[in-house]
Amino acid sequence: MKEGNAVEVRNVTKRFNTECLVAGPGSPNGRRRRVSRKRTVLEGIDLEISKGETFGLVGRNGSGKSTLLKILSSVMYPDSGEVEVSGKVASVLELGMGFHRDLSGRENIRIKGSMYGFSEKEMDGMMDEIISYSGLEEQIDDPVRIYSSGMHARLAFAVAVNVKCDVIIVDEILSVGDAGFRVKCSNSFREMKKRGMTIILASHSKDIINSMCDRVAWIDGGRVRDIGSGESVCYRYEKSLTDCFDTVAEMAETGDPAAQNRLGEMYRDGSGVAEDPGEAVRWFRKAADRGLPEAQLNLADMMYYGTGTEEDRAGAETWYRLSADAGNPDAQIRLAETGNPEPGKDREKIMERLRGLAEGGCLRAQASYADCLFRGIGVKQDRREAMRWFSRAAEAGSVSSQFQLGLNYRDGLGTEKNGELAEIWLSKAAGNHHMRAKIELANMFLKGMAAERDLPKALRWFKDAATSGDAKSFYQTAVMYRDGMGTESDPEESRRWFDMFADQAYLRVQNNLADILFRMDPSDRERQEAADIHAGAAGRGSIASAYQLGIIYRDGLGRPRDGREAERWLGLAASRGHQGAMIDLGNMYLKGNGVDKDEVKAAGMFTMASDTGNHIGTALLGTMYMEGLGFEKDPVKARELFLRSSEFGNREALKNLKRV
Amino acid sequence: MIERTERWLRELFNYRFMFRELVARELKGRYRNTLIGYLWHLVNPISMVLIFMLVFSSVFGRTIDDYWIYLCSGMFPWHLFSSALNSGCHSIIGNAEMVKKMYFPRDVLVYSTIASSLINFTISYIIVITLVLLSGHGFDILALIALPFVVALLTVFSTGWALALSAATVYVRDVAYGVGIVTMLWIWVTPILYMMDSSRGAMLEWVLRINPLTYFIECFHSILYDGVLPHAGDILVCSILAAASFIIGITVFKRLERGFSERL
Repeated sequence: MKEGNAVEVRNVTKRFNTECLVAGPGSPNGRRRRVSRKRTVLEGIDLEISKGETFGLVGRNGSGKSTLLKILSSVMYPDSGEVEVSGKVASVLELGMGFHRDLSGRENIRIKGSMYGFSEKEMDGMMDEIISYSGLEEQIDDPVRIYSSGMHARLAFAVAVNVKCDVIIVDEILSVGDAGFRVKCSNSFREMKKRGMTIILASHSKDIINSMCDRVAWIDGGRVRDIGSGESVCYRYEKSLTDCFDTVAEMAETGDPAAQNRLGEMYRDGSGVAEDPGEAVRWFRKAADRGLPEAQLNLADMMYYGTGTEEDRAGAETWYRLSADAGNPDAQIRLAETGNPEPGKDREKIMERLRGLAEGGCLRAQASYADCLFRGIGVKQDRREAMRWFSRAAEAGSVSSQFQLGLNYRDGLGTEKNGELAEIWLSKAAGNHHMRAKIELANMFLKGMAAERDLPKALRWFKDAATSGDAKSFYQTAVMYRDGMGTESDPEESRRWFDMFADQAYLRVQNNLADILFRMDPSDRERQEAADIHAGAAGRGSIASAYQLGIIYRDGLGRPRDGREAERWLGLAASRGHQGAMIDLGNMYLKGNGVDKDEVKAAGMFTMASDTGNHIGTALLGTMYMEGLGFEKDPVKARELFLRSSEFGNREALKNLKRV
Repeated sequence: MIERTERWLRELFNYRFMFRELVARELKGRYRNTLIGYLWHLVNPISMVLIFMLVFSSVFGRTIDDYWIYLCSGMFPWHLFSSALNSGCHSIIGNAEMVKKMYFPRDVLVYSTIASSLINFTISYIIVITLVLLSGHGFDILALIALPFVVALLTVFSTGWALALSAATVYVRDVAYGVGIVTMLWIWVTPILYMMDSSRGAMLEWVLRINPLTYFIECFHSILYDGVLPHAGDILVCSILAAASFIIGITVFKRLERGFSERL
């Protein structure tokens, strides 16, 4: 065994012999013969678990998790391959735990402890600790047969946790017992971890696995399907549950509404199974009957756009209403539309016009039409068609479409999953200062969604999102430095990011407070207070506060008017990507408001805003070209800028476009 | 081989507390919630002695002097052997929950059932010896010193059987039922109820000679009933039988042990 390893599993295979009586050929009552089948439960499993590691196993029922744990605890032996475990092992496998029903809890603890190979003396030393840990002080001398199943689990776990061992193996213990017990379990896992114990646990609870495990293996059909950090493995495992037709169908049969809805979608879209609207409606209806708003919406859509008979349309409306009442925003939109006395005509007219504009090349119309198609607003949902429009708008420079397009490539919505394209488009949106694009990109690389996991890239994007002010990204960056993900582990750097995160969270509170103070018709003193808060926050790096402080100095709100200060703070915010600050500062330069009039500087600001995709900035830049301010007069250039801005719906630009 | 044996012994030593706990559980636990409790362990052999005494003395007439002493001296060792076989069969399948869920040396389960049988035997045999002393039947104190040695040999012999049968029962459950019937018949071809002499025909004598238990029971008879040291030849045969039984038993057990938990 390699040094530092607690467990090594090499090429382990396990088969079970299942014997059963099967009716012979001919009549089912004929002679039955004994048939022996070999079922492979584990095949070629390789694992290495290092000392002190918390290792999780996930997988569906019957995937072989429990068998693997049994082999690790030497309760079972593999047919071939080798297992090595260093140190003393304690295991809690399943419930029941082999207590002797007629003996008391105390006596059972003794027996249990003895089964771990402890001497009487050692056991007496641990007894009080175990009893108090189990929380069963009052019942400890009652026979175990009167215990509830939760109490059984407590007792079993209490023994396993408190005996001194090097490796603890736990199979799905945390799903029994009440919330208090679960918290206790988690705490003791943490405690054990601190003591350097190796923990191996199997669980169906994603939260438990995610919060406790350093690494997770996903066992599927007796093989290791995936191994890595909890988050990424769990993500892919869960994803497989919702992507695999058989799994979804099975879950749907058992009556899980979410699965029924998902199955309906699979039938509707023909993903993983042949398209079958009849089946889709059947499953949507099942889930809808059980009150799932998404399914109600899907069902109503099928009815509304499907046959189009009066009866179905009326039925659809009822489902829309139910779904809308349950808070589904898309259903609310549909309901508002169908509530129109002449729904078809009006809606169709609007959509027709939108489509016309989109085809005419208007960016904003393209993005909006794509969105309607994607979400099925006012028109039959068609994600593939939506993707086409998103692509067009994105290529023409619509940032929101770039983001949506990247997201859809990443998650495989309306298209095949494509990590490369996802990265290209999300990066483009991120390059245009789209905050969520940065975060989603980071998540994509962190969790290995659609693409290979790439921690250095994830870290880079989290840092990018953080420096543009996303508080959660500060936290994530700190965590990555702490755990050495995508970089060398660097506690100092981590500390720094954690501090910044705390700062950010606090700054946000400050910002909100200042905002509230300004909004409620403030007295001078309150204004001053708000200004002080912003000044403090801005001094510590809050971009939003820097902007606000700039405005405060510009307009003399709670601080005496001071052009130099205004310039300083707005400039700071602008340099950190705040578009409002770019425009406001540009306008100050343009009008000489509090600062020296400087058209070149103004033009620079507007260019910056325009380059980051701000249509107001683009329109203003157009005006500069039109009027020859800061630039040579250039009507062609101006026209081009107005055109671009107007495509985003800028009225000023539209007006000027006619003038040029 | 030596290394494996050493590891096996060391592990058994580590699990001595478990062994003790299991024995205590067996003795206390089995008849918990009954009125006379532990005494039930003794009721079985004593009632058998009483029944056979009644049957043999009233139906066949008295043929053996101090028949009850003869009967007791053989019946209790026999019961040690037969209960070791019968409860030994169940020692693994009866603790399926434990075997399926935790690791420990599985043979501890067998040893603990044997040990509890041994304890019951010791207590009842002490009572028998006391009664014999009081009855004035007379015996040799020197012969009595040999008793623990003979008991030890019988225990080792029984353990070998129990190990093999307990493991076999896991694979083929029918073994447990078969053992019940076999032990029921076995007592009739062992000189417990009657004496061993040539008057009963060559066939029976031959059967008695090949019955390994005959040699053990005869040792008990000579110590308690005849009041003399057992034949050296008998002791030798018993020693060989005990060693062979245990070695075969533990080998079979270790061979089959790996498949226990999936077959329970």
